[in-house]
Amino acid sequence: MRNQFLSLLFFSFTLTLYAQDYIISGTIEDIGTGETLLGATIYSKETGKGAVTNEYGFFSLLLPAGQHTIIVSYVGYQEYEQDMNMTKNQKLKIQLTVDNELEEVVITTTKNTKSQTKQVIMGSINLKPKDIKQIPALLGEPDITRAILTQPGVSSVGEGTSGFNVRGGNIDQNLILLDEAPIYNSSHVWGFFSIFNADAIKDVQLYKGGIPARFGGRASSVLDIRQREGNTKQFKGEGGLGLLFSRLTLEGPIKKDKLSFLVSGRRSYFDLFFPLIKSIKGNKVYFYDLNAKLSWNINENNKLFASGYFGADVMKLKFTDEPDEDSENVNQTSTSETVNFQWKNATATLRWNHIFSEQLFMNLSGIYSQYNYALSSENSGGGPTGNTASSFTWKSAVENWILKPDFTFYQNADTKIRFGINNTLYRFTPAKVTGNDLGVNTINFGTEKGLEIAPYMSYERKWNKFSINAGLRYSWFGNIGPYKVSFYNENLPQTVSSITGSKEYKKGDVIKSYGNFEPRLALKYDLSNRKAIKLGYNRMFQYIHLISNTNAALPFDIWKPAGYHIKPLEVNQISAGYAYDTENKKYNFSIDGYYKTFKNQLEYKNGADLFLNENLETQLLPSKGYSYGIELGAFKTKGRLTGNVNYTYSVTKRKTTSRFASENLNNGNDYPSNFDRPHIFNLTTNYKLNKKWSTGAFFTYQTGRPTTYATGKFELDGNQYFTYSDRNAYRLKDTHRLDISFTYTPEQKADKKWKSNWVFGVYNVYSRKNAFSVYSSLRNNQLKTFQYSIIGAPIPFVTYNFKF
Amino acid sequence: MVLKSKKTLSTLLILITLCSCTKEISVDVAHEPQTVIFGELNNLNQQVSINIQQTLPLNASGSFQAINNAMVSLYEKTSNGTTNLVTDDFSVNQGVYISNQAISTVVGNKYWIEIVLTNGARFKSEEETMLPVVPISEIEIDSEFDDIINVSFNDPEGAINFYKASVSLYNQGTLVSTNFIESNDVVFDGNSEASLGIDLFQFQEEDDETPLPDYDAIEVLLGNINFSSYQFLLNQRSQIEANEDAGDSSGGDPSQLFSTPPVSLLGNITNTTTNKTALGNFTVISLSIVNQ
Repeated sequence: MRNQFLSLLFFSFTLTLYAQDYIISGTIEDIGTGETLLGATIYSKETGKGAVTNEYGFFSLLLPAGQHTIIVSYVGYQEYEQDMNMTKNQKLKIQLTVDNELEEVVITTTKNTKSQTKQVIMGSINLKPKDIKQIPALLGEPDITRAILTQPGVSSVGEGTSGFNVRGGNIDQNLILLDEAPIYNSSHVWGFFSIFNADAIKDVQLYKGGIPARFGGRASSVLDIRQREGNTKQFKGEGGLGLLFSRLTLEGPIKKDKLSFLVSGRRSYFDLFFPLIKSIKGNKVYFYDLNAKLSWNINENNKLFASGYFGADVMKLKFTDEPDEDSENVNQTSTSETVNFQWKNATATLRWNHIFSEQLFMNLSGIYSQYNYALSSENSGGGPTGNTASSFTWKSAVENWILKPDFTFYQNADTKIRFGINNTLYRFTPAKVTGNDLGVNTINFGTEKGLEIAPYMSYERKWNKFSINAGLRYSWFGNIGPYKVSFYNENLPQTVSSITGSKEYKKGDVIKSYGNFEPRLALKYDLSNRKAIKLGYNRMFQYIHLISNTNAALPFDIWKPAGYHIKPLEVNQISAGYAYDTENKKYNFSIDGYYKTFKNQLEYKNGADLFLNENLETQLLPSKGYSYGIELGAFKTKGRLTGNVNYTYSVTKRKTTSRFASENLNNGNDYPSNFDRPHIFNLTTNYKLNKKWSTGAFFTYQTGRPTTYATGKFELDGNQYFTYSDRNAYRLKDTHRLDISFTYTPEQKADKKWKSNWVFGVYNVYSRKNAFSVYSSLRNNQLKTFQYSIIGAPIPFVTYNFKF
Repeated sequence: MVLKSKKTLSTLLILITLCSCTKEISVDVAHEPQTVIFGELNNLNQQVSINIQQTLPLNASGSFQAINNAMVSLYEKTSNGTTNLVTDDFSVNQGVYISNQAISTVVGNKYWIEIVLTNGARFKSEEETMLPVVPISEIEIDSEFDDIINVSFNDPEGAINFYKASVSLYNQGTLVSTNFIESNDVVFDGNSEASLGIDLFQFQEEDDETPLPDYDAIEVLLGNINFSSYQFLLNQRSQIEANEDAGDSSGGDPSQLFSTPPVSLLGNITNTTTNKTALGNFTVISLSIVNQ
């Protein structure tokens, strides 16, 4: 009844199921683990019609009555064939066998995920954990963010900075989803390591060009990361011991083929050596990740997944102030101060897959995501032992509550309709400071709330040579009280001294709301079965901004929703591309061009004071910008030698657009953004030497990032000061780096459960000292200019990986 | 607090980025001379002093080039809106213009300077109000950290206040060290036991090779200032900190990771000829003094 109602409601106009057509539907999974396979293809040899499994391994394919040979394939698996006589609708659970598990590097299937000729959407990259693990990594730790950075159109400000920039977008313009839960801080140690444990990950999809209508809320890209479900057949484990981390993943059935679990943990352990070094004794610095998932195959039509991620960086630092021997204050004793610093992400996702009919699939997700940090400081004694002993705690948090039903209607083999509604409640608590010091007030800027409601629909259709994916999303965002809004004298720049008054909004009041249509369009025309041209257009709105004025995002940077003073960011992108596969599909080539505009970006006034600032708008300047570029990519996915090579040319500029000329940076002229790197060349290769040894290499060459230099000097009260050029008027030197790795897999008997390998390598092989920044300063009262390199030496690593 | 956190972060990063390094380089930059104006008017019935100079290229041997032939005028606007020229009678020596009379000020009046250079460039500082004095109630060396002095006062309730607190150390009458801190009243608005901690020494740390200077007298000033001047002090602080961070002589400088774009010392003075903000600031400050 319910499914008839839904079908009628939404698709009465599209019901074109002819009497002679039948549907095969079901899931495709790994025979050994029961893990569903995302993006596997199934097609009929006779008609050439096919389908691809969705994010949950589900497919639906409408075929004419009669005999069909069904072919199922997926990268890294043996092709599967089945003869079928279509006389009725059929449900299948297809199980694929891993191809040559020991020789992981040699991929033999005819399918590969790197070809850009099949997908309608442009500029989308799929990475499997295997791809990620093959890239030589800093300290040997497979890293999703670093893997993303090997792809065209993706760059970062520099080594060790958190996040990544996609086609000229700020780091806060990436929607990073882990099992659909948005992640607000995707790195440990500011930016050196990503928080995603590759052992717990099944699939990574980056959308940088065409972004399907079901995604929204961030303006430049979507990084959709899916966790594994856990082995439904047998208990398994895998793990590794590295220089920095140790990790362990356990998975298995609780009830065979019905209920499975996966738990994966990772912890850094370099702090265990701290007690050996006197100067850092008593300090604690570590970080950890814990991924967990429960998958319940209730029945043919229902599946339930519960997954969570918890990860944190924890620091406890002790500063000791030894008494001065010549001090006049004779009562001095050794004093110390402890600083605790912690930031963490926590997410929980509950998903229900329901198959209404062979043609209508639903996923309902309820998601909670939280990012928070706490900084606390305590003087010795730990409490109010005197009127100057002090302690304070500073807490801040971002929370999301999300509910999103998503439906896919498989009208026929060529037409798919996807629709749903995203509902997100945001809660931002910028700062809560409490202290026991008499002179410090308790500060609580309150909680800013935002509600985003976004219904969407997309229509995917394939004709003979022409394919379309057209979508429309409508997003409504409301900034909800209680909150205090300040008003400013309109004839003056916004500063605390131009405040004319303020208003306290009550709980539930809509302080300001925005509603916007976001069209998405992708077109593909097949010149042949291995050549295609593509066109795309996207409009994206983003209702939250990361307020950060530093090179590396800091844990206490603030997320701020659009509201009375701050407008939502709008990005429009047009793109065009050409994809080409060689005849044997050994090589895949693509060329993409794009032009992108940014409206209502935030820029920071010179010397912006963002610290505990209730009137943040006074430190911000409206800005707009544009970015354009061309990306050339090539993949080789077969043979002993595999890899990819890409080159990007891009330009990213912005300008501030304050009504008050004196406020504008660089006199209101265009200037390059911090991460504008016109030329980027990346090369990733893997070579299988023999059964035991394989080797990998990564090389990158990038134009140096823009920077601001000191240009002059003067003196005040005996101190020397600098005067600086326009913002980003100069550029650092070009950067380049080579990393290599060797993997040794000892010969293993097939009947032995324990399998292992060793990975050795060197990061920054030829010790290139890439400039992270150049700055001028005084040293011994002499004015000097310095270049700072974050990594200026080769860093060797070794990791032992095992599976059982 | 934020300073401490940044130091903490840097300390940590040193552990992690043992492989980082800093080297001295030379860069080729174009220098365009700019005028720098710096002055302060207080409530203490003193002569007003204004420093006018021109920036020098980085490779110049000196760091001070005086501008000696400027016309300087100090104006006031009374609460009923009348504008008066307070004085344009200044003596100049090496770019330092000192009024020939002591200037008496009135709380609530606005004050600013106007300057004309011989090349015709005109400058005007923002009209800043002489605010009421916020008296220091107590100064005390921190009982935990002996190189910090705590300045206590009663922060006026309801008003947004900005402070510049400075400390000068003397040894037998000679100034040996000076430092300042700027603050808004966010964390102690209306608090009758508001307090600011100032480091007695600007750059030095106790483990530095050079010993800290001896002193036998401390003078502490608490100034109630206007927003624009506070903003200027923030810029100045940002440069002082950048210089301090770079004071470390060897190894990496991980604080660069968290550096914000460098800031020129732009304040409340506008070049009215080009309508651009000029380097420097003219601060109107109302001071409370305690000597110990």
